[in-house]
Amino acid sequence: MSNIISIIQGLLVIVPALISVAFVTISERKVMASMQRRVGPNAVGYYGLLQAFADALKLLLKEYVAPTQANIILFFLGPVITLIFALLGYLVIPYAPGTFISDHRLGIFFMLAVSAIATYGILLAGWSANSKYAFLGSLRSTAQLISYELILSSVLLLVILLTGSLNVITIVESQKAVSLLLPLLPLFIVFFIGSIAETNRAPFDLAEAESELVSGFMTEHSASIFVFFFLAEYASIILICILNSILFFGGYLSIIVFSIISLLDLSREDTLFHVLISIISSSPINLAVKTSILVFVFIWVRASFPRIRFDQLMSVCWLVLLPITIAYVILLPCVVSGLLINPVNISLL
Amino acid sequence: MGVPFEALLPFGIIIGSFTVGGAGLWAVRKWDNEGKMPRWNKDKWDRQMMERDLRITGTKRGQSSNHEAPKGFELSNPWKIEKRIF
Repeated sequence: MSNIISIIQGLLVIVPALISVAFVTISERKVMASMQRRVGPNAVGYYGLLQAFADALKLLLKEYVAPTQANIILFFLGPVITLIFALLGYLVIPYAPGTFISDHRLGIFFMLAVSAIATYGILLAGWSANSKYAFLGSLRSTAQLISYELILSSVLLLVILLTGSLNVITIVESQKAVSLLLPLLPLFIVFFIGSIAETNRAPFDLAEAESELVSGFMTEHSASIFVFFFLAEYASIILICILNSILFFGGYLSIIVFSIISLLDLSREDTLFHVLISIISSSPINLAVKTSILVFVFIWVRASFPRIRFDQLMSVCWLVLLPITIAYVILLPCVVSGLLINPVNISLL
Repeated sequence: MGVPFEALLPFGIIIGSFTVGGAGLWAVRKWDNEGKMPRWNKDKWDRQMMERDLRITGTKRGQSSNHEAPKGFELSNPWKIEKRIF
């Protein structure tokens, strides 16, 4: 029985994630079309909403071609590794208090580790294709991912310092009074830039720069194995937006509803309205709305900024973002210990 | 000219799918935990207490106000010692 429940729980997380991946591609095309004064896809389904499924069907029905000199096992294993580890990150996401698949005490580390392993998929796929375009693309991508992971993990250190826990739900619950966006606003900007780079998105999409490297590490991948890369890329975009909303926007908590509760002093009442308000104040819809807004910003950034050069990408990471983050890593513990501020979740223990 | 509503339709579907998935997960987790929300961020002490509840009441989330331990409770309490090689 417990196995069936585990499968149902897995499906309840993975299926919405994959549906969202399909519709993020559509939203990207529609939003970018509107920003570029075009109509965008509008033929398949209502307002072109089913375009993603038509594209997926086309890719799945196509014949795949593997290069003769490629290392076939690694060639197919690369995309599979990337997709599996992109989806594994969804394990520790809390949709509401106590609503998760797995409650890791080191949940944040788990997400970091899983996203780090996904890099190997890209490296293997690029190397095994036996193509210079793919190899160059994978080298670029790996260098980029390793560099920007440093930024992300340094920012995470500070969030962990303030909340006093590595558990994802504890980090969310610590933000009931105030979201971490307020004390860590500059770091949120750094983290968001790092997120864009970590997911290989424009203006940091040098790994798959169409005009230079054809399609980067996935040049030789076609048809159904290309779908794996495609799904992995968008699944990791949604995952990193969820991570952003958990770390800086309070995840499933609705700060506005909490403010209304405290303003109207509803906490003492036990009416149906109060019950309804308390359900709304920490429900999955809050997380979904915050994530969608961040995904929109991802698309907006792609439509607004031109691709930067590779040396600029690296110098932005090592000479701009990392010094800012390290300055904060030094400053914040000094402030916390100087003002005798306890980690927020002391009250939750 | 802002973003037209038809470009925002997919976002509505994304929000809807995550909400339905999250609500479903909430319902399954609650049903699996005897109508209570699952505990989170459990440490060793919590797990030990849940094991104790399991032995007293038969379920991990069970609570009992009976001040006397059920028969056999003391017998099902072997010391957890490391297995000796020699």
